Amino acid sequence: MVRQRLVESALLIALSVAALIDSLRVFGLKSATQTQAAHVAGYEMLLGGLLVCLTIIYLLRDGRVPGHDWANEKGLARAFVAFGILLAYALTLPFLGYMLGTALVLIALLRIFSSYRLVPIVALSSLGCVGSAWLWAELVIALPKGFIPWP
Amino acid sequence: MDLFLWGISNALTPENLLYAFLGCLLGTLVGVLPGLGTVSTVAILFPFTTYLPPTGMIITMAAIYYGAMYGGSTTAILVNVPGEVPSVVTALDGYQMTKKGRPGPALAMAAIVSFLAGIIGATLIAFLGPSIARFALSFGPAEYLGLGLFSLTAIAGLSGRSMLRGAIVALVGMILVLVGYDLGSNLDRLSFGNVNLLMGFEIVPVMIGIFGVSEMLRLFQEGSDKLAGAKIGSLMPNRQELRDGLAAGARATAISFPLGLLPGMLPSVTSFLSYSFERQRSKDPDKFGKGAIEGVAAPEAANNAAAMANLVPLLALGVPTGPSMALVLAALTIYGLIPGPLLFTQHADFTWTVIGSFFVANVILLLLNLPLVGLWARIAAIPMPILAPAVLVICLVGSFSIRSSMFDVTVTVVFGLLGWAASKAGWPLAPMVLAYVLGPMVERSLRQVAQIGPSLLLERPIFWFFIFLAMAAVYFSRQLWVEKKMEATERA
Repeated sequence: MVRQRLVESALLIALSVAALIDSLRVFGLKSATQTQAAHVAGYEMLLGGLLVCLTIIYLLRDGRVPGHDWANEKGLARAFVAFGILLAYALTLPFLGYMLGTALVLIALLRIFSSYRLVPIVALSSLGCVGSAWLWAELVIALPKGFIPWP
Repeated sequence: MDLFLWGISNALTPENLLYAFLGCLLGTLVGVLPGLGTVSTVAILFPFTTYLPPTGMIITMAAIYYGAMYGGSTTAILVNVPGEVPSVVTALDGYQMTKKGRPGPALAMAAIVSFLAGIIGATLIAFLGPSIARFALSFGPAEYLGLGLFSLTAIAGLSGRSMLRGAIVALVGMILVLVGYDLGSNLDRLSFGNVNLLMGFEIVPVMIGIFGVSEMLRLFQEGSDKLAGAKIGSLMPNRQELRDGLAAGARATAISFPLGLLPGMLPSVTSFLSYSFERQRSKDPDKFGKGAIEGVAAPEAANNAAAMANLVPLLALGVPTGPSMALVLAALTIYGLIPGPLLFTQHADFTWTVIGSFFVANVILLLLNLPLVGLWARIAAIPMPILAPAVLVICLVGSFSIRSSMFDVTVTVVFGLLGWAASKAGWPLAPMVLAYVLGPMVERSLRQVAQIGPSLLLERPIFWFFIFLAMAAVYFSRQLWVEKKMEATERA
């Protein structure tokens, strides 16, 4: 549980180090005037430095206090499965297109997280993706078409 | 006053009425869905309002905001699932009234006091907004720097139990908003040569992720199935309930509107304060938590009064006081309207129509919600396995529609995971969103002050006034959380 604080602090330090390194890069850019670069990089450096300081204070103050009990957190796998499906949907949407991608993601989520049988799930998902595709088309939102060039 | 009445009459045109009606309907419809709070609702529906004209867009968004607030309290009262933080306080007594077979009077009281607080709030906006805007016309970089620092300090202190955590999250937000091209200098920051990162993280996909997607991940994790619907029965409170509820609502409005003018004073904080106040002044404090009508009326009125007051600093100073206001600000900037002192002079017709629409939206909500409360209760019982996938698809399509960018969709998903993990681990999310909006203002002011010379700060008393307010916010937030902790211990 205490390890959670270390992970959080490591992530925060990584972000602040990225900001500090990037500020040094900006400071050395020849395309900008010296004052401009100093202002832009200085602000970034200030934020990165402040974040390092606050993270160290956080680690010293709360580092030994137990954090959230992730080990006994119920349903963690369910949340990660849902996230995995969602990420796959986001990454494959340009190739599969909205209709096919949405139908597949709805089927997957309903199959895993509901107790309905396959036939109603497929029917509901098909209806959902056709109906929503029509609605987005009416709202002039041009979504990736992929294999099915509709609507 | 004339401008206010003109604004109301303009808001009553068929087109604007339709926007207000649709906003109230959609906001309540999504707000009643368990797990979806006001911010999530506004974030999810925001992209679809960008297709409307500027006035229509803001009217719809404000109506969605109020509708979602009302929807959140409906599920809190009926099924003990608060859609948002302020409704947690409403659920304490509202759900107890449902268990006693009196959900109708609880819902009616919530609607009536919300309406009254909203109407009073809208009227006060009309009086206070222009005065504050006139005062803000004298603001220069030093004052805006002070205002930005005060707002960030206040939100960091008040949105979570730890000021340090709030400050860290705010800094993370301020660093993340640096990603991409800086238009002032034409230099890129934190993009590491990545073409997508050069565009930066757009606020809407980030907000949909940390508020919409993360909530759905939480629902998947909890795996809660169909919620039990409650029978509504009669809506009419009895005479005693009406008297006690209205009095509590009036006191809560009087406390919460002035507090809501301050950055960081989110409706969740004022709801808690009003509830505590009612409990302390009651002759029978033990009835709270067991179905007291004051326990429903006070947080609901406080919630609405603070929500209205939150609009004053947004419209007059261009400073959002919470995540929902940050989205309204984003909406305004899409159309090149910069909230601040000039909004009341250069875009007076727009501003007064929007203020008038706040008034009209509150009336529509009252007329819409009481007769339809049975329908909302049925919608609240939609099974989670159907609700969550549908909302997720809407979230992703919404984030895509802003810039037609698949990168934004991925950003939404990743920020969804971050938001879910952060809220589980007890990190407040509001400071990040506020920092996202206020960060550029603070940077711009700081650069201008650096160019003019730091001695400028010594000559500007308003800057020091804001610094004093920031320190007061730190002190006040400590007191507030000590009080809240004591109350929780007492309750346990």
